[in-house]
Formats: sequence, C-alpha cells, structure tokens
Amino acid sequence: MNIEEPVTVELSDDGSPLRFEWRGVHYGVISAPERWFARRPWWLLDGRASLGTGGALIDREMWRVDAVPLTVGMPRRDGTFDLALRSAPGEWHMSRAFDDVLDTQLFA
Amino acid sequence: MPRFTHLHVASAYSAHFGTSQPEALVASAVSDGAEVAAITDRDGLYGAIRHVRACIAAGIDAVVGVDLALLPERTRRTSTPGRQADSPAPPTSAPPASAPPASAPARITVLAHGHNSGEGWAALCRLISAAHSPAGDGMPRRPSDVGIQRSRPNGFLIGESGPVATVLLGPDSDVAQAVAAADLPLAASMLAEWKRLLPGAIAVEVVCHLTEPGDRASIRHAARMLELADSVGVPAVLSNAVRYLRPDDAVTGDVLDAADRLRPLGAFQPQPNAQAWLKSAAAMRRLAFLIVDHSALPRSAAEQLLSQTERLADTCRLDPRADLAWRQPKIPSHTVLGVDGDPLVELRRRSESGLLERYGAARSSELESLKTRLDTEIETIGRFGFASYFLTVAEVSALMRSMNVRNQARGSGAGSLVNYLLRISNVDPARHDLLFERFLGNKRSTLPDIDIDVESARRHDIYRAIFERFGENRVSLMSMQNTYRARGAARDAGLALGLDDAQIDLVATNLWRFNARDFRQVLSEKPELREIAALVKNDAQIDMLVDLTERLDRLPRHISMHPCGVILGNDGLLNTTPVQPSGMGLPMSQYDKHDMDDAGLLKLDVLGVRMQSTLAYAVSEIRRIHGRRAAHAGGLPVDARYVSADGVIELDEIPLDDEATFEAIRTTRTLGMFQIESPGQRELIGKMQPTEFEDLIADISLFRPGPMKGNMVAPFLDTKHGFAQPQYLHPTFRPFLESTYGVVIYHEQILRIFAACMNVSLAEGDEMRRTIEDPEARVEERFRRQTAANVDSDGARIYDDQAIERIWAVLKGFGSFGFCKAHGAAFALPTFQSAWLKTHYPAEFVAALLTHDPGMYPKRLLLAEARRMGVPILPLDVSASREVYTVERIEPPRPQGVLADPDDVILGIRLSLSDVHGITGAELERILANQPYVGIGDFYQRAAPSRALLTRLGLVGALDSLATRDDAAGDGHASRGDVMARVRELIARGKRPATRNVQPTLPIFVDDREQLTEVTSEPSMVERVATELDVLQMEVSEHVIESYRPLLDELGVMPASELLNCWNGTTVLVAGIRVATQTPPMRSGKRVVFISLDDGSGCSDSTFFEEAQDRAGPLLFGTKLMVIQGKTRRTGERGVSIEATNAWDLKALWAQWQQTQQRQEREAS
Repeated sequence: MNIEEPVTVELSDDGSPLRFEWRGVHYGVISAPERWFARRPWWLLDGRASLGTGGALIDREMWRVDAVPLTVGMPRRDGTFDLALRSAPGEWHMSRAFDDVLDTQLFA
Repeated sequence: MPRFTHLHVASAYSAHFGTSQPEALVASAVSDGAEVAAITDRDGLYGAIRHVRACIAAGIDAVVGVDLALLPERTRRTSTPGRQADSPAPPTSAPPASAPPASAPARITVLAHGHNSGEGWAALCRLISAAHSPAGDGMPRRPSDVGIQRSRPNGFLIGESGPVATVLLGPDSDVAQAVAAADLPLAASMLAEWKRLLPGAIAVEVVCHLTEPGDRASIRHAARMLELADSVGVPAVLSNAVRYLRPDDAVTGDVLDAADRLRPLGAFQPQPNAQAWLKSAAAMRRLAFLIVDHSALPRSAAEQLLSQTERLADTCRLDPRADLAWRQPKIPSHTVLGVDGDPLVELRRRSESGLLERYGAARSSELESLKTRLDTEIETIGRFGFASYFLTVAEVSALMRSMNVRNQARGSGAGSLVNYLLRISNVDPARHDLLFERFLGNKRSTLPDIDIDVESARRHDIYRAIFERFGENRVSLMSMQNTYRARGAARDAGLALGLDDAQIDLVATNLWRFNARDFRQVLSEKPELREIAALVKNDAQIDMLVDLTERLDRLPRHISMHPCGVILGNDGLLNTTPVQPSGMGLPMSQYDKHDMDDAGLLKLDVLGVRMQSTLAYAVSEIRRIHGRRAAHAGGLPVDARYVSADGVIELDEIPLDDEATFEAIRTTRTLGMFQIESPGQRELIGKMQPTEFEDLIADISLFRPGPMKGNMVAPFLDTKHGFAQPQYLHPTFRPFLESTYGVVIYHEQILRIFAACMNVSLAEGDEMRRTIEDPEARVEERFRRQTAANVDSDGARIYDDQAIERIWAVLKGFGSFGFCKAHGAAFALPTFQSAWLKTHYPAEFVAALLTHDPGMYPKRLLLAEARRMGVPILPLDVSASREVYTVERIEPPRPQGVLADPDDVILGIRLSLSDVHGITGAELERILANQPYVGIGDFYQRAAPSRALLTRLGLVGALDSLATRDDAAGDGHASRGDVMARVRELIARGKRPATRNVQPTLPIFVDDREQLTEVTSEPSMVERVATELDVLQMEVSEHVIESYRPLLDELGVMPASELLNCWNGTTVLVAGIRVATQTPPMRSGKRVVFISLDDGSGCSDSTFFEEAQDRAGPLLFGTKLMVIQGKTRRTGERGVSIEATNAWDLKALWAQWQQTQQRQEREAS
C-alpha cells in the first residue's frame, strides 16, 4: 500500500533507520534494514534532463525495515515498511507499508 | 587499494542499450587504478577493436567477451494453424501497457581466455557468428532470435587442451531467474547442468544493483546466487553488469529502452534504477561485503569473491599480438589467386606485359622512363610484401571486367603505374603527373587503400562473384555503425516522451545538419528554428525533448552493410571477426572501417556509383539504337578507333581533348555531368571556362572547403584568363606548377617542391608532407637547413633566404587545403565521359540519367533539360514503355513509297513504367511480358494490373494509344475522358475475365471502341499536370509552376532563362520548385544557404546570407514552391546568381491572391 507521508526517523551510527514515529505511533526496527533504490518517472516531473543531472532524477533511496509499534496501547503488529530518504537532508517519507491487517486498521 | 576488474561492461556499441563509448569506459577504469578492462557488448564484438585499442593506448590489458541471449532448446514454434482453427481462441485483450514483457529471454556472458594463441578469440568469434547464423531463407534473424541454445557453447568453448573461454551466469541468466522466482532447487539443478556442459568454463556472476529486496540484482538475490555457487561448487565472481559510465547516463538508458521497444516511457517495465554504472573499486568491495553479510556464508567469502574475480580477469587478459595478430595484414594467400611461386615475380611479369598494351605507341625514351618508374614501384611493393595484395585487387578488377561491369579506381591508387598497367585504374599516371609515392611511401605499415567505383546497379552481382571466387571463409562484407544524428535523435526522444507525431514532425523536419548535442545552443542561432525555440519556452515537454535529443547524439543505433567495403582475408578470417547476415544475405563482419587496420584486415572499397551505371546504360542504348551507324549518329569520325564496328563505344578510350565537349561544359549547362552539376560548381565552371582535361582535374580539386577558404581559386582564374602573370614561387617549380598556372593545388606538387628544394626522394617528400604539422617531425627546421644547403654545380645556393621564406609560407599554409591529384584525376574521368556523352548523344544520355538517377536533381529537371536540347519526351504507354527509359526513333511523316532518310529521324525518350506510383514488381513484369496490347480490355485481362494501377495508368495517358488504335468513329480520337470511362466500366465489372478463356487475337479493341463513344472532355492542362505529378512524381506535359502563372505574371516574376540578360545588381523576383538546397563551405566560415529553383525555363540559384536567412526563417528548408526576391550577381561570362533578400511560400501567396481576386470580383458584381 502506497502511503507517502512524512515521518520522523531516528538513525543508528551507520545511517540506517533505528526507530521512527508515524501518525503519532513510535515504531522500533527489528530487522537488519535493507537499503535499496527505487526509481522515479522523471519524464512526468517538471524540469529538465540535461546531461549531468540524470542519476538523481531516477534513483530514490529507500530502506526496507521490519518494525513493531513501541507505543503502549497499540495492538502489537509486525509490519514491513519502506522508508524513503527525501532530497532535503534528514527528511523522510513513509513510502509503503506491507501488511494486510495493518492496511485495514489504518484505512478502514 | 586492491584493484577491481569489471568483467561485464556494455558500451554504446550495444545498440539501444549501452550509453558510453568504449574509450570513455577504459579511461574511467584506468583512473580508478584498473590494470585490466573488459568489454562485453550485446550480440557481438562491435566495440571490441576500439576497446583493445584504447587499452593498448592506456597501457592496460584488455578482456573481451559478449553478452548473448539464451534461446530455448527447441526453436520450432509448437502452435499449429490447424489446431487454432479447430478451437478458436477466446478474444484476448491486449496486455496492460505496464505489463513486463512476457518472458524476457535469459542472457549469458562469454569471456574469451587470452594467451592461448588466439584460440579464445577464435572461439568467441565463431560462437557469435553461430548466434547470428541466418534464418532458413539466408536472411538476418529477427533481433529476438539472435542468441544461442544452452547446449551449443560447449562445442566452441572447450578446446583440446581445456576451456578457452568462460561463461558467466549473471542476474539475467536462467539460473538467476529461478532464484528470483524463489525456486532454489530448480536453480541448483540448472547450475549443475551448466557445470556438466561446460566443465571448468563456468562461473556465477554475482551482481547487486540494490534493487527492491527480492528482485533480481537485489542484495538478497545476490546473496542467494553466491550461496548457490558455493553449494554447487562453481566459482563466483562479482560484477556490476555495467550499462553506463555514470549514474547520470541512466536517463539516456531509459530513452534507449523506449526506442528499442518503440513504446513511450511509462508504457513498459523500465530498468529498476540507476545503479548499473561503472562503480569504483572501493564501492565494489563494499558491495561484496554487503552481499556476504546478507548471506549465510562467512565474511571471508567476500575476499574470496573478489579474488576469484581478479583470477578470472587474469585468465582473460588478451595478448593483442599473439591472440589477435594485431595490425598484421591477413590477406588471401597467393595460392588462392592461382599463382605458384613468388607473387612479386608474377606482379612484375603482368605489369611488364601491361606496359606494351597501355603504352604500345610510346617513344622508346618514354618507355625507358616508364620502366624505371615501374622498377621503383615494384621494388617498394616488394619491400612491404604487398605483391599478393596488388594481385588480389587486380583479380577483383579482372573479375568485374569479365562480367562486363564498368569499373574505375578512385583515390590515390590512381597514382600507381602498376595499378594502371594491371587495369585497376584507367587514368594514365604518367600523362597527368600522378605520383606513386603519394599512394605508397616508405613508411607505411598498413595496407594502402585501393577503392574501385563500379556500376551501382551491378554492385550486388559483383559482391556475389567475389564471394564465389575467393570463398566464404575468406570474404566478408564490412559493416557500418549508423549513429544518431539530430533528426533521428529528436524522433526517438519524442517517441520516448510520448509526443504526438505532428509535434515530433514539426521539430524533426526543421533540424538541418548540426550535431544533436548542440541542439539547445543552435536554437537561438538558427532562424529556421525560431518556431521551435518559442515552443521550448512554453512547453515543458519540448524543453525536455531538447535535453534528450542532445543525450542521444552519436550513439550507435544499428549496424548495416557498409555501402562499399568488402573484406578479403586469409583462411582464418572467421577466427578474426564474427559475421552476421547482411540485408542482402551475404555475411557481414561486425567490424567497421575504423577497425580494419588494427584487425589487420584488407578492405577493398567496391563503391556502387550510379554515374557508372548511367554511362554503361547510355553506351548500351547507343548500340541498340544505332548499331554500326553509331559513330555517324554521334557526329564522330566514322573511323573513330574507340567505336567498334557494331556500335560499342569504348568510353575509357575516347579522346580527352574533344573540343565539342569542352564547349558544352563551358555553357554551364552541366546538368547530369558528374561532379560539376551543382549550383556552386556551375558558378565555378562559368568562371573557369575549362579548355582541357587538366582544368577539370583542377576544378574538382578546387571545389572544396580548403581551397575556397584559402583563396586559391582567384589567382588560378586570373592567371588562366591572362589577367595576371603566373607566379611560380621559384623558377625551378615551373615544370610542375605550369598546369595549375603557378597555384599549388595538389599534394603531388608539394612532394615535388620538397624533393626539389631539399634534394630528397619523392617518398621522403611525402613523409614531410604527412608530418608537416607534427612538431616532433621538425619539418620546418629540416626544410630550411637542407634547402639552404642545396647548391648547384658551381657551389652557388639555388634557393636564397627570401625564396625559402616564400616557399615555406606556402607549404605551411597548405596543410588542410591540398588535394591528391590522383583523386581529382580519377573523378575527372567520369566527369569528362558524361559530358562527352551528353554532347554527342543527348537523347541516349538523358534516358540513362532518367533510368539510373545519378545526380542531385529531380527527374522533372532532367525532362526540362531534354526538351531544351530538342529531345521530345514520349508519354507513358503500356504497349511501348519499359522498366527503363528507352530511346525511340520518331520518323517524320513521308509520302508513300519514299524511303526514310536515317538522318531525318528524331530521337525521343519514352517514359518508364517503373516510375508509376505504386506499381509492384510483379505487375511491371506482367505488363512487360505481355506487350503489346490491342485494347484497354485486353491490357486489363492479360497484364492484370490492380484496379488502382489501371486507373492511374489511364489518368496519365498510358492507355491512350490503346483507345485510338482502331480507326474509331467520329474524328477517330478518343479523349482521356473516354478512356477513363472505359476504365471505370472495366473496374465496375467486379470480376476480371479469366485469361485462359480468351484468345489474345480476339478483336477486343472493337469492344473498346464501342464503349468509348461517350463524349467527355479532355482534362485541362492544370488537371493533367496535377495527375502526372501525383502518379509519376514528375510532370511531363507542363511545368508545375505554370498553374500559378496568372499570379506570377502579376508579380512580374522573371523566368530563370532571362536572368542572364539582366544588369548586374538588378532586383528581381524568381519562382519555382526547389530542386536543391546546399550549405557549402564558405571562406568566411559563416553559414550560407544556396537554394536552386526550377521554373521550367531553367534553374535559378539564390544565395541566402545571414540577414536573408533570418527573414526567410522556416521557409529556408521546409518549403517546396517558393518565390524569392533578390539582386542579380554576375559570376562570370555565363553565370548569374541571385543574392536573396526575401522569400515567400508560393502556395501561401496563391491562396492570398485568390482571396483578393474573389473579393474584388464580388465587389465588382
């Protein structure tokens, strides 16, 4: 499920996500975060594609993490999340969440 | 930092895939500390020679491989048409636009091992050739069918002493596909099968592009691949499956993917991200550890992965000398030529017998000097060991003569006496002072080029004959890389962005001869791009289009057969180069002309030249029409030795001093004459007024950027016309500068200057010429010193300091200007021959021009030229027209019983059926086979044209002769309208009468007559011209411009034929249809546009300088019918051109004018 909402992310020493807060809920990462690169449909976005600008046009850095809610009172649900690094330093997006149950809880 | 070698790298020579030039990839690897660099292009070795060359230059070792598709074991499609008919398939909806291709074929990479005397290289070449081996019909495979079955590499890659290459199973392999599908048992059994098929010649290629977890080339996937290699016991290597040099190039890759699939971005599954770049050794090490950390293997596995990569790289390092025989000539052995013993002895023997044939009438002193020259040439050829090469070329040339195909060596090869004696060239090098040393000096290490022009229409026959004569294992066609130019780049970029066709057309049609990479820059500079520049400002997509067009510039698009290159090799040719079928079915090397010298391959340029076909056809028409009266018909002496008794003219023997021919050239009515028909050349010819063959050589040599910029033309003309005294630089130069009036034009003259001044040989002179701009050669210093030291028998200096200054200034400034005289002379021969034919046999020559279309002008202009010369054009006639333009005798009416006087006969040109729009080869064949016809019905029945074709033939009058054949009722003449009525009636019948039931002798024309009685009017001249243009793409009855006559008269437009009567500087208006657009090199370096308009009376040439270009804007290149305003400028006795001030679109003017007319009419009534 595509989410695309801002999140606050706390990083470990090697720069990978450790904890994050989303919709008022704190989550703790319980897997080895896996870094990957998704792509953008750059031809639909405003702007140019002149020589020398291209790498950043396509690649979108993501971290895939398994996480559980740390906030008391929430039902404990394991979920998998893609956290996307935005172009401004320190800003993150919750890109996607994978969990059927979570889906129904969040958007029912 | 330990090194890392990228073993899987696609360059831009992986067409529609890679984005980076091999040289750039090598340079980047070297700067990162690489000792070895690999290239593994898709489907071939297209970039391999360049890669090896770049590696040698950078002082590193090269690895070469190929990336090939893996085909299913059974190639036969299993679906049978019968079963489909039994059970009709449910209506299938098209797959959703974003669906990935059903099953992208698996791919493998094959790396040749090195240091095995070329065994690895040969195996690679032969495997690739097998992957391209022709489809059943001998034609190229479809791109999706290029590849190899899993069982095949074994036979190529496992040599007698073990493997000679290694197959890499990377992220696109069948094994990796199984891993990605999480079917590990299947993956393991596949890998085990590979291992069994290719013992010791297999490795798992671990690639991590940091794609979405679980996908191919993700961290997880790479980790599983590594574990799999470990468990099956196959070595693993790390690579980045490189597709581009920098992350930035990934955008270019996206655009190429779209071009490859012919679908816009967003309508197909794109590459997953931009990670397939040439990452640094440090980054690759980090990846190795990242992968291992995600695997079940110990950390030491990372070091092992990296060291195995380097071990394989070492195995694959090539030794260019031992593995590729780098730069060593590989030519057919003399035994293939049927020569026993020493080829040099044979070459001398043949040359000496040629001496008698070519110079039988020469004086003995001349003969002596020719023999001396021959000795020198033979000695040089022998020293280089090129005797077999010359014999090979002579063999090819003899092969062409035996096929009765005209041929003529071009280029510096014409400077060789040996070539002349062996009949490779037909220009006498002694007579025109052409020098062997310019062709083959002292220091050459690679084979000299001999280029042969042949009849274009016979080129493929010649290729086939060469393959037959030398054998398929020794001959291959050369290929060429077609690269993106501005227009193609804009089209594919537009496609990628999903622009509609109209938008793409608007941009593409206005791009004119500039580099795509300068697109944005020229937008503001070129007036014809004004509209596009405005669009760019307002439309973000067009703005983006400019960026993408620039990115595609010069990337290879596809490979095709080179227009003339034939490679003649030794028995091992197919171990040297992979071959694939060309469009004509013959095998074609994957190397292009830039690869030839380094690969040590001999390329013979067999260039199809339409003018040679034209000449041959004119000669055959002369013989057919005139037979033994040929000489008389052409106004030649009846005993002319170059005309045979039965009327065959030996064009290579005609006298080169024929005054009638030069008189014709001097009129500047040079249309159809080789090399001298362009507007610029007409201007130069008008000024020069050539009087001898040497002038034609000079004319052709002067008409190029260098001499135009260097102002060599004016002194030449002034001296020729006696306005100035010749300046010979030094009196000793007179003998060899006299023919060019003191102006230094030719390389040959430079050689002679060096030789005279410095007392050196001509070969040394050529060495000086070649290195004149190389500071290390210190040519200037040597020239000054040795020339100053050159003294006569009294010890006096021959060249004083002033003379040395003067001479050096000319030599230095000459660098880019000079032209090889042998080249000019070889060109001037067909120039003269075509002029000679046009002068003596105008009808036959124009018929040949129309048939073979050798020139730059449209056929309508040739028709006008024929009419101007008094040669009638005979209309298309299905009973008389052939597939070519033929000459017909038109006998004047004469009283009964009076015999025809052959001199009274006029020759006309009958139009050809092959120019009828939409006629198929089969229809043409049937029409010709059944000629003549007795009626329209008869024609429809026996020739069986399509209905559309029948209609078109009727419209242009090709059926008129059938309708009037019988002495019909009324005035006996059926109108075009009657013909068309009959055509419509025949078509309306629905069913054609069956041919077999009808006797051709039946008086069908009687039916026609009966049905032609409806009286309908003749079409107007305007309608007739419009129809002819439509059907024939040229007008026969009247010039297209005549339709606009009322407007032109009102404007006071001047016919082109009257321009010569104007004073210099008269302001005039001309109109016509555009026949040529040129942007020739100019002295100032600024762009000048020449536009030639044809208005039926002749051709006007207008020059647009900057300001006028600005005014004309988009009209410059886009408009066919134009009106141009400008001032006349006399360019010589018979030349005039127009300096344009403005231009309009004639059609637009016409529309405006008609509106005005109508309004006035309304107001008047």
